[in-house]
Amino acid sequence: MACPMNEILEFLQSDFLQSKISDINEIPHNVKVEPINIINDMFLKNITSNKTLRTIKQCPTIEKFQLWKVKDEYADYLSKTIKLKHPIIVIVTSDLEELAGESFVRIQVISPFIQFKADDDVVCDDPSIIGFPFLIEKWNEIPVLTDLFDQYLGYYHYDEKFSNLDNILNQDQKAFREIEILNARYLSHSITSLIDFMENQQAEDAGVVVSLFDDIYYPDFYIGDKSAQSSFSLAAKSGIIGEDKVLILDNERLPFTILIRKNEEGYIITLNTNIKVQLFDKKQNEFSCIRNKDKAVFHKLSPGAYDLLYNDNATPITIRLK
Amino acid sequence: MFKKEYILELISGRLSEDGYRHFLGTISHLIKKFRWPKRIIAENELKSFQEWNWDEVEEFAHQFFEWAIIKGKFKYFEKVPESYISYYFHQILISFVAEKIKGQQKKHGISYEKASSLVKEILIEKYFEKKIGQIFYWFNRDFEESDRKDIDADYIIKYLQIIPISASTKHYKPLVAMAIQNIFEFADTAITEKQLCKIVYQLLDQSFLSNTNGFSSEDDSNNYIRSVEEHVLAINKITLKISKIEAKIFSEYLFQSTEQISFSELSIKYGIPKSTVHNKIERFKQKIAEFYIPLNEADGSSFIELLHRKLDELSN
Repeated sequence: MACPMNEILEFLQSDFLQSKISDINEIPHNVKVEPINIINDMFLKNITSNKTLRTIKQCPTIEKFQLWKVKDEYADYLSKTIKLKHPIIVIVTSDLEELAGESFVRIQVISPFIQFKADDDVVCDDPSIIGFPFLIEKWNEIPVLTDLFDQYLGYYHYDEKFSNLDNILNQDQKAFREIEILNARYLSHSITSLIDFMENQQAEDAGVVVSLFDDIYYPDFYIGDKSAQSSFSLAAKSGIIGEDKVLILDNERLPFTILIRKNEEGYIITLNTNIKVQLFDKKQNEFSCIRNKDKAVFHKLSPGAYDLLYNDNATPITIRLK
Repeated sequence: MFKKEYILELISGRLSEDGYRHFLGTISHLIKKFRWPKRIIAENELKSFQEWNWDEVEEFAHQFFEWAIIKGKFKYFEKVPESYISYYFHQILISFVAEKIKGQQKKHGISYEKASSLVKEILIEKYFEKKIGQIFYWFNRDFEESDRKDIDADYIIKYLQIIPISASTKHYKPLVAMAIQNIFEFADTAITEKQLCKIVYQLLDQSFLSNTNGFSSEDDSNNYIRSVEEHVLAINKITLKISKIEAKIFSEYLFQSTEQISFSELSIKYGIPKSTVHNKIERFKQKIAEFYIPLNEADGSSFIELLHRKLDELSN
C-alpha cells in the first residue's frame, strides 16, 4: 500500500485535541434542513441492526494479548498531572510484574493508522474487535503501570516473533514511528516517575512528594526535633509510622506548613492554618476536615494522589502519599 | 473536538440542526488549522489555498460522510470505546483527507513542499555546493564561478520531459532525483536550490499531461506522445559528437529492415575491430537509455522514427 502523507503525520504531532470547543470561533448561523435530511437518510440506510454502545465496563485480571484503553491523564509519582495528546489503546505483551508494590506490564501501542504499515508490522484487519482495523506497533514496546489502564476492550492473539529484520522504511514510515514513540512516553513516564520517587523517598517503606506551582518538593523527615537526612539513615529504615515521626514541608510560597504523619489507620495531613482548605482525590471525592482554631486535619488517608485547594486558589497543590 | 453526542446523533441518522452546525464549524476549524487545499473537493480548483466558504465546507462534509459510509467506517461503531469515539472520528476524517490528497498528487503531481524537501535531501546526498557572492549554488561536479551562467527556468521547463507519475508510483524520491539529473545535464550550469525546486515541481506537475493532451485517465496515457521538440532535444543529446561512420554503424545495426547485421559484418564493412564496434554500439544504447524513457509504445515509436531520421541525416 502506497504510504500517505504529511496530513496524518501533522495530525499525530499536533495537540489540537487539547483545544476546547470554544476555540472554534466560526459556526454557520443558518443551515438548511434539506442537507441534514439527506445525511440522516444516508446514515439510516447504513444502520444494519440496532446495536448499542458497549456500556458495561469489564475489568478482568490483566493478561497477555488483552487490549486496553489507557487513561487520558494521570497523576505521576512526582505529583504532576500528565495529559495525553492523543488517546492510546495498547495490547499487553507480558505477564504482570511488580515494582515497589505497584503492578506493571509491558505493552505495545495500537494505532488506527494502518496506512503506515511496514513489512514487519502486524495489522489486525478485523474491525469487529475494537471497531476498526489496527496496527500493532511491535517496535513501540514499553513498560507501564497498570494503574493507567482504563477500559478493557478485548483480546487479540498474534505471532510475537519479529520478522524481516532488514525491513526498509520509507520516510513517512520513519516519521510515523518517531512520532508514536515520542507520544508513548506518556506511558513509560509512569514507571520512570515511580523510580524517581523511590530514589528520593524519605523512608524505606513510605514517601511523600508535593507538587507546588510546577515544582517538586520532598518534605523533610523529622523524628522529634531531629531531621533524618536520607532514606539510608537508621531512622528512615525504621519507617514513618510513629507519633514522633513526621514529614514537614515549610515553603515560603505557602501560607501554612504541611505536616504528614502515618498511623495504622493511614496518613494524616495537618495544616497549621485557619483559612479554608479542601482536599480531593483524583476522582474528585472530597475528604472531610477536622478543624480547631488554627489547624485543619485530614486523616485516614490511603496511599494515592490528592489535590489540596486553599482560599479557592485555582491551582491545587498535589500531594502524593505512598 | 468533535462532540461525542453529535457523532452518535449522526451515526443513528438523527442529526440535529445544532449537530450539523457543530460538524460544519469543527470541520471548518480543522481546514484552517491544517491548511487543507480546496482541490480535495474540487479537482479543477487552481486557487487551492484561498479561504473556503461555507458552501465548500458543506460540500466537503457531505463528501466525507459519504466516503466514510462507503468504506464501512461505522460498521462496527458500537465496538469503539466510548472515550475513543471522538478521536476515532477525527482519524476517519484525517484518513479521508489523506486519501483525497494522495489521489490528487497522482493527477497533479506532488506538492511544492514535498518536492522542495526531496530536492534538498538529494542535493545534500549527491551534489556539490558552493557559495558565489552571497548566494549558494549547486552543481553535479565541483565548480568555480566561471561555470555559472544565467538560466531561464521557463526555457528548461519547456524543453525537459515531464516525469509521469503512475498509479503504482510509491516513492517520489527517484523521480525527483531523475528530474535534478536532467536539469543539470540540460542546463550545464550551477543553479540555486530555489530555482531547482521550482523547476522540479513543474517537471512533476501531472496537470500538464492531463490538460494539454486530453490525458485524463490511465487508459489515455497509453496513447500520449511527447512533442517533437522534446524528442528532438533528447535525440540531439544522444547523437552529440558522433561521427558520420558511427551514425552509419548505429543506423545499420539498429534499424535494418531485414535480418540484423552482426558485429563481425559491421567490423569487416567499416574496417573497425569487432570489439570497438561492440563498445560503440553499447555506449550508444546506454546514451539512449540515459536521455530517453518511453512513456508508452506510441511515444517510443515516435522517438525511434525521429532517431532513425537523425542518424540518416548524420550519415550523409
